[in-house]
Amino acid sequence: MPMIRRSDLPYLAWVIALVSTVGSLFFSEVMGLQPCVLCWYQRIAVYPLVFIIGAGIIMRDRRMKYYALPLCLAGLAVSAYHNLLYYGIIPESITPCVQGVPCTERQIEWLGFITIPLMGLAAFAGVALCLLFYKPEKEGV
Amino acid sequence: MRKEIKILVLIAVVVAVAAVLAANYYRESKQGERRETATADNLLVRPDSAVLGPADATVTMVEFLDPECESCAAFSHVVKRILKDYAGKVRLVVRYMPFHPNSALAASYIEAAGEQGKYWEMQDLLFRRQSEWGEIHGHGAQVEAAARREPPSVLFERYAAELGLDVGRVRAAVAENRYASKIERDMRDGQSLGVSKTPTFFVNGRILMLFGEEPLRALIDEELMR
Repeated sequence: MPMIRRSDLPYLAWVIALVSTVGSLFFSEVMGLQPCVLCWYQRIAVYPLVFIIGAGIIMRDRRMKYYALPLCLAGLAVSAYHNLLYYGIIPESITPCVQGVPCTERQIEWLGFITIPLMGLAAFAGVALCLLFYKPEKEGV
Repeated sequence: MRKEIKILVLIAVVVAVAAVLAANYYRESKQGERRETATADNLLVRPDSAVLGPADATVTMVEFLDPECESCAAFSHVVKRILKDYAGKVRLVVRYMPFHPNSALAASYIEAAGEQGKYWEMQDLLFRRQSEWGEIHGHGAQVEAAARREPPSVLFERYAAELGLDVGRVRAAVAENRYASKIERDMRDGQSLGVSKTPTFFVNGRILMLFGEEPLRALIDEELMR
Protein backbone atom coordinates (compact mmCIF):
# COMPACT_ATOMS: atom_id res chain seq x y z
CA MET A 1 0.00 0.00 0.00
CA PRO A 2 1.44 3.36 -0.91
CA MET A 3 2.12 5.86 1.86
CA ILE A 4 -0.12 8.47 0.33
CA ARG A 5 -2.94 8.00 -2.15
CA ARG A 6 -2.69 9.92 -5.37
CA SER A 7 -6.00 11.56 -4.57
CA ASP A 8 -4.49 12.99 -1.39
CA LEU A 9 -1.50 14.61 -3.10
CA PRO A 10 -3.07 18.11 -3.02
CA TYR A 11 -2.84 17.98 0.77
CA LEU A 12 0.88 17.38 0.50
CA ALA A 13 1.21 20.20 -2.02
CA TRP A 14 -0.74 22.48 0.29
CA VAL A 15 1.44 21.59 3.30
CA ILE A 16 4.59 22.28 1.27
CA ALA A 17 3.22 25.67 0.17
CA LEU A 18 2.12 26.51 3.72
CA VAL A 19 5.45 25.53 5.29
CA SER A 20 7.30 27.52 2.58
CA THR A 21 5.14 30.56 3.32
CA VAL A 22 5.56 30.36 7.08
CA GLY A 23 9.24 29.46 6.72
CA SER A 24 10.01 32.40 4.44
CA LEU A 25 8.26 34.74 6.87
CA PHE A 26 10.25 33.17 9.69
CA PHE A 27 13.52 33.91 7.88
CA SER A 28 12.60 37.55 7.25
CA GLU A 29 10.50 38.50 10.27
CA VAL A 30 12.02 36.43 13.07
CA MET A 31 15.61 35.90 11.95
CA GLY A 32 15.78 39.31 10.30
CA LEU A 33 17.22 38.04 7.00
CA GLN A 34 16.36 40.42 4.20
CA PRO A 35 14.83 38.71 1.16
CA CYS A 36 16.64 39.39 -2.11
CA VAL A 37 14.78 40.35 -5.29
CA LEU A 38 14.57 36.80 -6.66
CA CYS A 39 13.30 35.60 -3.29
CA TRP A 40 10.50 38.13 -3.57
CA TYR A 41 9.46 36.84 -6.99
CA GLN A 42 9.34 33.32 -5.57
CA ARG A 43 7.28 34.54 -2.64
CA ILE A 44 4.82 36.06 -5.08
CA ALA A 45 4.37 32.61 -6.60
CA VAL A 46 4.25 30.55 -3.43
CA TYR A 47 1.97 32.62 -1.17
CA PRO A 48 -1.14 32.38 -3.39
CA LEU A 49 -0.60 28.62 -3.76
CA VAL A 50 -1.68 28.18 -0.14
CA PHE A 51 -5.01 29.82 -0.93
CA ILE A 52 -5.75 28.38 -4.34
CA ILE A 53 -4.71 24.81 -3.54
CA GLY A 54 -6.65 25.13 -0.30
CA ALA A 55 -9.72 26.30 -2.20
CA GLY A 56 -9.23 23.50 -4.73
CA ILE A 57 -9.15 20.91 -1.94
CA ILE A 58 -12.27 22.27 -0.26
CA MET A 59 -14.17 22.42 -3.56
CA ARG A 60 -12.86 18.96 -4.49
CA ASP A 61 -11.86 20.52 -7.78
CA ARG A 62 -10.31 17.94 -10.08
CA ARG A 63 -9.12 20.74 -12.39
CA MET A 64 -6.85 22.14 -9.68
CA LYS A 65 -3.67 21.56 -11.63
CA TYR A 66 -4.82 23.85 -14.43
CA TYR A 67 -4.69 26.92 -12.25
CA ALA A 68 -2.20 25.91 -9.54
CA LEU A 69 0.44 24.40 -11.79
CA PRO A 70 1.17 27.52 -13.94
CA LEU A 71 1.81 29.56 -10.81
CA CYS A 72 3.98 26.81 -9.41
CA LEU A 73 5.96 26.45 -12.64
CA ALA A 74 6.56 30.22 -12.77
CA GLY A 75 7.98 29.98 -9.25
CA LEU A 76 10.00 26.93 -10.24
CA ALA A 77 11.52 28.83 -13.18
CA VAL A 78 12.58 31.76 -11.00
CA SER A 79 13.87 29.35 -8.39
CA ALA A 80 15.87 27.37 -10.96
CA TYR A 81 17.46 30.61 -12.22
CA HIS A 82 18.16 31.67 -8.64
CA ASN A 83 19.91 28.40 -7.87
CA LEU A 84 22.02 28.55 -11.03
CA LEU A 85 23.16 32.04 -10.02
CA TYR A 86 23.64 31.10 -6.41
CA TYR A 87 25.85 28.13 -7.11
CA GLY A 88 27.79 30.06 -9.73
CA ILE A 89 26.73 27.85 -12.62
CA ILE A 90 25.78 30.94 -14.59
CA PRO A 91 27.57 34.19 -13.82
CA GLU A 92 25.63 37.15 -12.52
CA SER A 93 25.74 39.83 -15.19
CA ILE A 94 27.23 43.13 -14.22
CA THR A 95 24.39 45.20 -12.83
CA PRO A 96 24.47 48.39 -10.81
CA CYS A 97 24.69 47.77 -7.08
CA VAL A 98 21.42 48.21 -5.30
CA GLN A 99 20.82 48.66 -1.63
CA GLY A 100 19.72 45.39 -0.16
CA VAL A 101 20.76 41.80 -0.34
CA PRO A 102 22.51 40.35 -3.38
CA CYS A 103 20.80 37.22 -4.64
CA THR A 104 24.00 35.21 -4.26
CA GLU A 105 24.65 36.04 -0.63
CA ARG A 106 24.84 32.89 1.51
CA GLN A 107 22.69 33.51 4.52
CA ILE A 108 21.93 29.99 5.66
CA GLU A 109 23.80 26.75 5.15
CA TRP A 110 22.35 23.93 7.23
CA LEU A 111 24.15 20.58 7.28
CA GLY A 112 26.54 22.09 4.79
CA PHE A 113 24.17 22.05 1.81
CA ILE A 114 20.67 23.18 2.76
CA THR A 115 20.39 26.78 1.58
CA ILE A 116 17.39 29.06 1.16
CA PRO A 117 17.37 28.88 -2.68
CA LEU A 118 17.66 25.09 -2.51
CA MET A 119 14.71 24.88 -0.12
CA GLY A 120 12.75 27.07 -2.52
CA LEU A 121 13.59 24.82 -5.45
CA ALA A 122 12.65 21.69 -3.50
CA ALA A 123 9.34 23.26 -2.48
CA PHE A 124 8.32 24.30 -6.00
CA ALA A 125 9.42 20.95 -7.41
CA GLY A 126 7.50 19.14 -4.68
CA VAL A 127 4.29 21.08 -5.29
CA ALA A 128 4.63 20.61 -9.06
CA LEU A 129 5.10 16.84 -8.72
CA CYS A 130 2.13 16.56 -6.37
CA LEU A 131 -0.07 18.42 -8.81
CA LEU A 132 1.18 16.42 -11.80
CA PHE A 133 0.62 13.06 -10.11
CA TYR A 134 -2.67 14.05 -8.53
CA LYS A 135 -5.47 11.77 -9.61
CA PRO A 136 -8.91 12.49 -8.22
CA GLU A 137 -10.88 9.62 -6.76
CA LYS A 138 -13.60 8.32 -8.97
CA GLU A 139 -16.93 10.01 -8.52
CA GLY A 140 -19.09 8.28 -5.98
CA VAL A 141 -16.25 6.45 -4.22
CA MET B 1 -18.05 21.19 8.57
CA ARG B 2 -16.60 19.49 5.53
CA LYS B 3 -13.88 16.91 6.14
CA GLU B 4 -11.47 18.84 3.88
CA ILE B 5 -11.87 22.05 5.85
CA LYS B 6 -11.25 20.25 9.13
CA ILE B 7 -8.03 18.71 7.84
CA LEU B 8 -6.75 22.02 6.45
CA VAL B 9 -7.58 23.93 9.63
CA LEU B 10 -5.93 21.27 11.76
CA ILE B 11 -2.73 21.36 9.70
CA ALA B 12 -2.73 25.18 9.65
CA VAL B 13 -3.07 25.31 13.45
CA VAL B 14 -0.22 22.82 13.90
CA VAL B 15 2.04 24.81 11.55
CA ALA B 16 1.13 28.12 13.21
CA VAL B 17 1.79 26.79 16.72
CA ALA B 18 5.09 25.29 15.59
CA ALA B 19 6.08 28.62 14.01
CA VAL B 20 5.28 30.60 17.18
CA LEU B 21 7.20 28.13 19.36
CA ALA B 22 10.15 28.21 16.97
CA ALA B 23 10.10 32.03 16.92
CA ASN B 24 10.14 32.20 20.71
CA TYR B 25 12.88 29.61 20.93
CA TYR B 26 14.95 31.43 18.32
CA ARG B 27 14.56 34.81 20.05
CA GLU B 28 15.41 33.38 23.44
CA SER B 29 18.50 31.56 22.25
CA LYS B 30 19.67 34.60 20.28
CA GLN B 31 19.05 36.86 23.25
CA GLY B 32 21.01 34.46 25.42
CA GLU B 33 24.21 35.10 23.48
CA ARG B 34 26.46 37.56 25.22
CA ARG B 35 28.83 39.85 23.35
CA GLU B 36 32.03 41.15 24.86
CA THR B 37 31.73 44.55 26.53
CA ALA B 38 34.62 44.54 28.97
CA THR B 39 37.68 44.36 26.74
CA ALA B 40 39.25 47.44 25.22
CA ASP B 41 38.67 46.40 21.63
CA ASN B 42 35.02 45.38 21.96
CA LEU B 43 32.61 46.49 19.28
CA LEU B 44 29.81 47.53 21.61
CA VAL B 45 31.40 50.27 23.70
CA ARG B 46 34.14 52.41 22.21
CA PRO B 47 36.19 54.67 24.48
CA ASP B 48 34.78 57.79 22.78
CA SER B 49 31.13 56.69 22.81
CA ALA B 50 28.66 58.96 24.58
CA VAL B 51 27.72 57.55 27.99
CA LEU B 52 24.94 58.54 30.38
CA GLY B 53 24.97 57.08 33.87
CA PRO B 54 27.60 55.84 36.33
CA ALA B 55 30.62 53.98 34.98
CA ASP B 56 30.19 51.23 37.61
CA ALA B 57 26.52 50.58 36.74
CA THR B 58 25.54 46.90 36.85
CA VAL B 59 23.88 47.12 33.48
CA THR B 60 25.32 48.68 30.33
CA MET B 61 22.63 49.38 27.77
CA VAL B 62 24.04 50.10 24.32
CA GLU B 63 21.66 51.76 21.88
CA PHE B 64 22.38 51.87 18.17
CA LEU B 65 20.33 54.82 17.01
CA ASP B 66 19.78 57.11 14.09
CA PRO B 67 18.93 60.75 14.90
CA GLU B 68 16.64 60.83 11.86
CA CYS B 69 14.80 57.62 12.70
CA GLU B 70 11.26 58.25 13.84
CA SER B 71 11.09 55.19 16.05
CA CYS B 72 14.29 56.27 17.80
CA ALA B 73 12.72 59.68 18.48
CA ALA B 74 9.50 58.12 19.74
CA PHE B 75 11.36 55.58 21.85
CA SER B 76 13.73 58.14 23.39
CA HIS B 77 11.05 58.92 25.98
CA VAL B 78 11.03 55.28 27.00
CA VAL B 79 14.82 55.24 27.25
CA LYS B 80 14.71 58.33 29.47
CA ARG B 81 12.03 56.79 31.67
CA ILE B 82 14.05 53.59 32.03
CA LEU B 83 17.20 55.50 32.96
CA LYS B 84 15.20 57.38 35.61
CA ASP B 85 13.56 54.24 37.00
CA TYR B 86 16.86 52.38 37.17
CA ALA B 87 18.95 55.37 38.26
CA GLY B 88 22.44 54.31 39.29
CA LYS B 89 21.98 50.76 38.03
CA VAL B 90 21.84 51.30 34.28
CA ARG B 91 24.09 53.32 32.03
CA LEU B 92 23.34 54.17 28.43
CA VAL B 93 25.91 54.10 25.64
CA VAL B 94 24.97 55.70 22.33
CA ARG B 95 26.21 54.40 18.99
CA TYR B 96 25.25 55.75 15.58
CA MET B 97 23.63 53.82 12.78
CA PRO B 98 22.96 56.52 10.15
CA PHE B 99 20.43 55.04 7.74
CA HIS B 100 18.79 58.27 6.51
CA PRO B 101 20.00 61.15 4.29
CA ASN B 102 20.60 63.66 7.11
CA SER B 103 21.51 61.19 9.84
CA ALA B 104 25.26 61.60 9.72
CA LEU B 105 25.00 65.39 9.63
CA ALA B 106 22.64 65.36 12.59
CA ALA B 107 24.99 63.04 14.48
CA SER B 108 27.86 65.47 13.77
CA TYR B 109 25.92 68.35 15.30
CA ILE B 110 25.10 66.24 18.36
CA GLU B 111 28.81 65.41 18.72
CA ALA B 112 29.74 69.06 18.26
CA ALA B 113 27.26 70.04 20.96
CA GLY B 114 28.81 67.35 23.14
CA GLU B 115 32.17 69.12 22.93
CA GLN B 116 30.47 72.04 24.66
CA GLY B 117 28.80 69.82 27.23
CA LYS B 118 25.34 69.75 25.68
CA TYR B 119 25.33 66.31 24.05
CA TRP B 120 22.09 65.00 25.55
CA GLU B 121 20.30 68.33 25.20
CA MET B 122 21.14 68.44 21.49
CA GLN B 123 20.12 64.82 20.95
CA ASP B 124 16.83 65.49 22.70
CA LEU B 125 16.19 68.66 20.72
CA LEU B 126 16.89 66.95 17.38
CA PHE B 127 14.52 64.15 18.30
CA ARG B 128 11.79 66.56 19.38
CA ARG B 129 12.10 68.71 16.25
CA GLN B 130 12.68 65.79 13.90
CA SER B 131 9.60 66.68 11.85
CA GLU B 132 11.22 70.02 10.94
CA TRP B 133 14.37 68.53 9.41
CA GLY B 134 13.85 64.78 9.03
CA GLU B 135 13.01 62.76 5.97
CA ILE B 136 9.55 63.42 4.55
CA HIS B 137 7.23 60.49 4.28
CA GLY B 138 4.28 61.21 2.08
CA HIS B 139 3.42 63.10 -1.05
CA GLY B 140 1.73 66.20 -2.40
CA ALA B 141 1.54 69.01 0.13
CA GLN B 142 4.05 67.37 2.47
CA VAL B 143 6.69 67.17 -0.22
CA GLU B 144 6.02 70.73 -1.34
CA ALA B 145 6.38 71.92 2.24
CA ALA B 146 9.67 70.03 2.50
CA ALA B 147 10.98 71.74 -0.63
CA ARG B 148 10.38 75.11 0.97
CA ARG B 149 12.03 74.35 4.25
CA GLU B 150 15.48 75.50 5.21
CA PRO B 151 18.47 73.17 4.78
CA PRO B 152 19.11 70.98 7.82
CA SER B 153 22.45 72.62 8.64
CA VAL B 154 20.71 75.99 9.05
CA LEU B 155 18.13 74.44 11.35
CA PHE B 156 20.78 72.58 13.34
CA GLU B 157 22.75 75.80 13.89
CA ARG B 158 19.56 77.46 15.09
CA TYR B 159 19.00 74.63 17.56
CA ALA B 160 22.60 75.01 18.73
CA ALA B 161 21.99 78.72 19.32
CA GLU B 162 18.80 77.89 21.24
CA LEU B 163 20.82 75.70 23.56
CA GLY B 164 23.23 78.58 24.14
CA LEU B 165 26.12 76.91 22.32
CA ASP B 166 28.94 78.76 20.59
CA VAL B 167 27.56 78.37 17.07
CA GLY B 168 30.85 79.38 15.45
CA ARG B 169 32.65 76.52 17.14
CA VAL B 170 29.90 74.08 16.27
CA ARG B 171 29.99 75.17 12.63
CA ALA B 172 33.77 74.89 12.47
CA ALA B 173 33.76 71.42 14.00
CA VAL B 174 31.12 70.16 11.56
CA ALA B 175 32.82 71.89 8.60
CA GLU B 176 36.10 70.11 9.19
CA ASN B 177 34.26 66.77 9.24
CA ARG B 178 35.69 65.94 12.63
CA TYR B 179 33.19 63.21 13.49
CA ALA B 180 32.89 61.41 10.17
CA SER B 181 35.32 58.64 11.07
CA LYS B 182 33.64 58.02 14.41
CA ILE B 183 30.19 57.80 12.82
CA GLU B 184 31.47 55.50 10.09
CA ARG B 185 33.19 53.28 12.62
CA ASP B 186 29.97 53.05 14.63
CA MET B 187 28.12 51.97 11.51
CA ARG B 188 30.79 49.33 10.76
CA ASP B 189 30.65 48.05 14.35
CA GLY B 190 26.88 47.87 14.12
CA GLN B 191 27.04 45.92 10.90
CA SER B 192 29.55 43.48 12.41
CA LEU B 193 27.18 43.01 15.35
CA GLY B 194 24.26 42.33 13.01
CA VAL B 195 22.42 45.58 13.65
CA SER B 196 20.00 46.06 10.76
CA LYS B 197 17.41 48.37 12.27
CA THR B 198 17.22 51.27 14.67
CA PRO B 199 16.92 51.45 17.55
CA THR B 200 18.75 48.23 18.43
CA PHE B 201 19.61 47.61 22.06
CA PHE B 202 22.26 45.45 23.68
CA VAL B 203 21.91 44.91 27.43
CA ASN B 204 25.20 43.75 28.95
CA GLY B 205 26.10 42.48 25.52
CA ARG B 206 22.82 40.64 24.93
CA ILE B 207 20.80 41.80 21.97
CA LEU B 208 17.15 42.72 22.53
CA MET B 209 15.29 40.50 20.08
CA LEU B 210 11.72 41.68 20.52
CA PHE B 211 11.53 45.48 20.36
CA GLY B 212 9.46 47.30 22.97
CA GLU B 213 9.52 48.81 26.43
CA GLU B 214 8.41 45.69 28.30
CA PRO B 215 10.91 43.30 26.65
CA LEU B 216 13.69 45.86 27.25
CA ARG B 217 12.77 46.19 30.93
CA ALA B 218 12.56 42.42 31.24
CA LEU B 219 16.05 42.01 29.82
CA ILE B 220 17.43 44.69 32.16
CA ASP B 221 15.74 43.00 35.15
CA GLU B 222 17.24 39.68 34.11
CA GLU B 223 20.71 41.21 34.06
CA LEU B 224 20.20 42.97 37.42
CA MET B 225 19.17 39.65 38.96
CA ARG B 226 22.30 37.76 37.87
